[in-house]
Amino acid sequence: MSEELELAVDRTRCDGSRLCAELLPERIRLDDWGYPIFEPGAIPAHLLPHARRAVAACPLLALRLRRPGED
Amino acid sequence: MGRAPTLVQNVESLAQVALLARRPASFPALLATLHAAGSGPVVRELEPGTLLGQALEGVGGSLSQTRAVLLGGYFGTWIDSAEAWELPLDPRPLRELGHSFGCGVVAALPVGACGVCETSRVLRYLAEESSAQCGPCFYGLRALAGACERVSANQAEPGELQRLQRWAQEVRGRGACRHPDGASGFLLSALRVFGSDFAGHRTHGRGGLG
Repeated sequence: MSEELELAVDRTRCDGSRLCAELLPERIRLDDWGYPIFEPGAIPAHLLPHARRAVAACPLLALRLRRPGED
Repeated sequence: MGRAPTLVQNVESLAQVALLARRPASFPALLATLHAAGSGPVVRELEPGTLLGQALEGVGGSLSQTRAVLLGGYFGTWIDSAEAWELPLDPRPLRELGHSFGCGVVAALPVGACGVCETSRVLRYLAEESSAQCGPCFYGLRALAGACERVSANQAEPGELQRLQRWAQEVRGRGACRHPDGASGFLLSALRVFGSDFAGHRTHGRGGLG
């Protein structure tokens, strides 16, 4: 069973550790201050394991995967 | 406050209630703060749909003395004066035209004043009003204000204008609140309306920001 998931970040928690962009450069780039900018849309299935790894690696627990439209 | 139940009211809501109680037939009236070139701001009740130019002329403004109009306050948009003069002051049609009535402030930039310097001053204020909770807003608005100030002081770095455009796009939607979105929309409108001034800014005799 597959489920559409997209990236979301708690902006007030994120302090620009840059780990997520290292682990998932296909979907995350950094702005000039080290904060993530996401490619819009659902994560393709083959990148989901990498996305989960990026979420798990976030030191501030700011990054997460959510269903599109979720808060 | 002080552990007591506290009601917080928006002043404009209360003013609207007063208008409604006094003249229900004419509701909704529009409350606008009108700041014509060369005079102080005044608050006026207006018929929705009143033309912006008419409203400013009613408080001493004139098209020939106005370079541009900032509609909707600091989170609003700069509009070229000739275009602004014909706009109906009514939130819904304004939205359809891509503008916002916002907080109801209509401010005229006098002919001879500099859109770059004024934009730079407002952007610095907005940067300092960031509550510093989200990185893209805290760092982004400061960087944007700094870049505007460099243009304004005739010390723009190579690629400054392209960077202003890119940063303004990038901070949009990347705060927990809409503060960066408002600042971004304000700046992007300045880059549209004062584009040639941003591209070829000269320092002014009055020495930096007025």
